[in-house]
Amino acid sequence: MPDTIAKRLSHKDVAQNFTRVRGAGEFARMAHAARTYQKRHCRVYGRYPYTYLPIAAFKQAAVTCFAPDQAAAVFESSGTTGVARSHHYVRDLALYDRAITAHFAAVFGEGPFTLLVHLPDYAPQSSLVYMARLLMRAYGDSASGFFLDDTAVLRRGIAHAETQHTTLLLFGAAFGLLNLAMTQRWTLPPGARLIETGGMKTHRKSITRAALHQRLAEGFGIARHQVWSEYGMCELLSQAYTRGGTAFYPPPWMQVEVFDPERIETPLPAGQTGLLGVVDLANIHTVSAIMTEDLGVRCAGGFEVLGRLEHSALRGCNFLLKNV
Amino acid sequence: MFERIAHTAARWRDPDHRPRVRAVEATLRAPNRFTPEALTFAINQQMALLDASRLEAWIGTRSAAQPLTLGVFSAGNVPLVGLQDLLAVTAMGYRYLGSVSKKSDFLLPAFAREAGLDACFDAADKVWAASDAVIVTGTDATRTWAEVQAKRHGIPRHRCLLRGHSYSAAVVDGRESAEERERLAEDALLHEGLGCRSVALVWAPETLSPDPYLESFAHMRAVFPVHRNTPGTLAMQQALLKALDASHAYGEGLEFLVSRGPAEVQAPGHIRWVPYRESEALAQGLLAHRARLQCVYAREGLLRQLPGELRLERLGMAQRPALDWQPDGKDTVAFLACL
Repeated sequence: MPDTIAKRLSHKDVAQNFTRVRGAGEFARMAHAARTYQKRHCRVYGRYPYTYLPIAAFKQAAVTCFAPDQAAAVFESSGTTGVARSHHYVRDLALYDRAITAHFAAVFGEGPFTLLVHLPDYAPQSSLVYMARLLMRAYGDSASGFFLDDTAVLRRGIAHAETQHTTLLLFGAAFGLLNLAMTQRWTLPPGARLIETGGMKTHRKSITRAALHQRLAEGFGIARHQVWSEYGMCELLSQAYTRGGTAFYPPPWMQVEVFDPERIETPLPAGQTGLLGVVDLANIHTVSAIMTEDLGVRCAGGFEVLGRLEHSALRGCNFLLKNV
Repeated sequence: MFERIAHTAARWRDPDHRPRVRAVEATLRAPNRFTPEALTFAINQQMALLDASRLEAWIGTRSAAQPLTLGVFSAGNVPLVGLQDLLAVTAMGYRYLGSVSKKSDFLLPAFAREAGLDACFDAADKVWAASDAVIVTGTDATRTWAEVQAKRHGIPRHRCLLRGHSYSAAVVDGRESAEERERLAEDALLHEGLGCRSVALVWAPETLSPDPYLESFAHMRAVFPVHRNTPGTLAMQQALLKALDASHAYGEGLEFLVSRGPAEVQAPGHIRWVPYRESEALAQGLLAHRARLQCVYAREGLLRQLPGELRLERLGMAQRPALDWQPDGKDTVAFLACL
């Protein structure tokens, strides 16, 4: 770690060194530097009196520490028609690339992998598609690619991984993969991993993550521990992954806390369900501390995501969340 | 049966009736957003409806063709929600097997027990396992979950009455009397904005000042104090609105929050004031939400000008549903009669 980390940090130090952060002390210093810079340069955040900016801010304003027209890319959240979408103005795509690749390599290794992605490749505004394309470029082999209805891509990828003895990684939205598994029974090669990237929010309690993973494991002919999850969103430049269980583990530059939804920024102890608040140092050019609308719980070294705090759940009845 | 229910309801109209007192005390200790005042209002309102002639008029002679067990999953965000289902199921001669939210799991069982209804309450999985047909009320996620569960337990589609997420809206035009404005406040805030009948969106002419309505909201809060946890949930939103320079207003101590903007539903207790320019835009705006709108409330004279496809009611009716009201436009008794 450069000496500057131990001294007074600037936002440039954070931008350059966030992937090298080690330990709580360094993280706290970088987070402080990020917050100081962002409170000064991001208009919305500067006027917000608390630390964790509600994620809804990304729907209503350009949350940036720079002129929005200087953004290298603007990513947009998915959503239903008529509902405002989040926009994340990304100042520096190289920084985003480092956040994606550094954690991916630490978790999965450097490949090459047969990286198949069950997503449309024609969505330039999707941060998930951007990430998948980057990972394919950085760690994928010649059989890697996007696919949706053309399951021949998956069949070819499986054959390629089997003959070339590469590790197959299959990414996709949770229920898209489940539907794929229902069309026919697949058998992924030994050592393959399936990484679902969410998309459970409309099916929150219709199926638990554990049950979903079990069904995916059965549908793709792999063991339960070969089914992983990715936790990411358009508003955050970093991702967390499960590792065969239900707990997500963030990279060292991303910290996740659980907060009481009824008492602003009051942290809850491990085991209690609340709102997930994330500090992502990679978000140095926007806002690092984000209060998500995800409900979760802290567990050893990581966190579990239990669903979303939707206004619909509050207005209607979400008794299943408590009862089942 | 109708007489028995009516007699029980008559006893429950007395706030000192011991079973009611015990159920209320336990309910107020549960993890919900009920205030003593709102709870009293809801019980009194529901019990006042339950006389033998009204029950007779609602159910009539319709009864169970076969002795089925109805699994009923009730929401828990508004006091006594699910009472209508309980009465319809038992009065028609079905066996009621309920699963109630932990937010409010005392009121319905206490009333059912005292009225001697054929009703049991159990955990969700046990209810699914023992049910021939189901009524499920909840979010869209709950609904999807119910579809999966029904399939798993072999309950055919026509034996499932599933109610998804919805909310309600109001339309004002500035000609509301002070009393009508107070009713709007009740429609929006009584149960902390919870429940599908509570007003989440208020359409108003662009030039109309919200001030008299905000005053009514404040008056309402003097009678029905805010739940202690509501201001905490609104604090973050209010701070964000302020940071965004978004037009908004709030009651002292964050008893309520109103923001001006597009027709997007906010958190309970946070009402969205939606300006419209002309009646055509208003109709379009309302119809765009049609699939999700439980009811639209307006003053009597204004109701006639609103799209007839919507479920329209007078201001002040949100928290006073009739015995035979049809959630999501689906008639519960008709559903039961077809089983």
